[in-house]
Amino acid sequence: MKWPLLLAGLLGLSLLQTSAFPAFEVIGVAPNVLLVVVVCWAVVRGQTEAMILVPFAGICIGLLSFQGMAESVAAFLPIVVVTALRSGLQPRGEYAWALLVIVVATVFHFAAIAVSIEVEGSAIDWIAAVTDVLLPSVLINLVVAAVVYWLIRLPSPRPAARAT
Amino acid sequence: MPLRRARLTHWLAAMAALIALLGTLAATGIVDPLEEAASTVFGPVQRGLRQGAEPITNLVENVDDFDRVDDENRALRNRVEQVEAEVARLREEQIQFRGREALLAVRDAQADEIFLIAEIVTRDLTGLRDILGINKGSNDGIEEGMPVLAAGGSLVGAIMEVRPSSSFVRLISDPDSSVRVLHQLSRVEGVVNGDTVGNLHVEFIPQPTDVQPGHLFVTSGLGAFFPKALPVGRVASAQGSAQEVFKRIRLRPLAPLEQLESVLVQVTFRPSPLPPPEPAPISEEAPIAEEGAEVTTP
Repeated sequence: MKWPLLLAGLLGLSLLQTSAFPAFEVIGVAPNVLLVVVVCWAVVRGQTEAMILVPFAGICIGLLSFQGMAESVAAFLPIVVVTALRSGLQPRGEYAWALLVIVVATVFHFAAIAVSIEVEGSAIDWIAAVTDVLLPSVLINLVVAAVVYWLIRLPSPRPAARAT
Repeated sequence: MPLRRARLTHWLAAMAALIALLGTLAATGIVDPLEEAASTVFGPVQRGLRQGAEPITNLVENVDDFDRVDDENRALRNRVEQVEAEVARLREEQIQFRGREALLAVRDAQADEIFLIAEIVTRDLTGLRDILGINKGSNDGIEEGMPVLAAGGSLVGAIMEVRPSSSFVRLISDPDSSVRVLHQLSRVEGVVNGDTVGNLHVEFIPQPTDVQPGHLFVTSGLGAFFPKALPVGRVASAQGSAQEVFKRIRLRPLAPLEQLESVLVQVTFRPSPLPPPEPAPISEEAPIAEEGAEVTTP
């Protein structure tokens, strides 16, 4: 029962991401709430669930928007890889780690999309793209993550509690 | 730990295969029916969500007295755009037909144009492209290349991809957009290009041309990609030193590209660019060059 609900929720979020959220532009960009939710979920609930959610989120966005499915899945992939680094790096707090992963995932997501646009044959003004799109996106995603993290963290059991 | 690493490696390999598969399916058009089904099923939901979010967006944008200010602002912007488009159209007609008697013919031609109203369903999410999804497609008579206008009649973009019940519009501010335009006062031709962050730039306007902020650029119709005399935007800034060949002009689009909710597709206009020149016929007497031999032209 858990997975159908989770995937349905992700589909609903993808619908919102492709319709309503682009209207909430702050400092020139709209938050990528789907990315933020998937990252926070991966940090809080672990790699196994992220490994299912990430390709599903990419396929949903690919189906519901102009972005190609392959491009979308590729843009979400780094989330799982970055969250997997946690045990090696041993950060102090999960919250700080989640915010750090948001920054890295936003950068990778931007890079994947930008590179795919270049591959399609369009030229990108990289300086303008970084200053006017990437940096505001990182900021606005961090703000959203500061709230979304707790919405996922509070109802989730801590790793120690899960082990018992 | 090694187990976890091995699982991640296997997962990445599976994802690489999935990406390759999805890319191949997309390139061959096999996923088109799936995308079409998704847009048919979820398109109305997306439109509803978009409209549902509007009051919240307005609330954020106009914290106090948002209702009245927003309505007034929206009405005034529409009105300004309509008036500017009308002024531009009239000025165009005046310039084009001064001394001629074709005004009635042109009006008749305009009256024959058919516009299809389409609702915006989705927008590009990356911030790097300016692309809109609309809820009309080939079933409604939409074809690739058809011009897309705002409610006031100014140019918004062109249809870039068509599905049976939905389409995608490349806005004039997209980095891949290129529109041939005329400076309305001097009649000098240029090209309006978008950029990565959604600005409009006019290129190839020679330095001596008198271009001032507020001046209007309209489509030139050259190349037959867009109808002639559609208002595109007003000059926001025009710069350039005497040493430069062309002016550096930034344009403010007449249509509110960020706040579009519905657009008009001019279904009676089909771009008909000139075919590329055919290669000259090869003379039968001409010697056939051997492979690897250098070929020189007289």
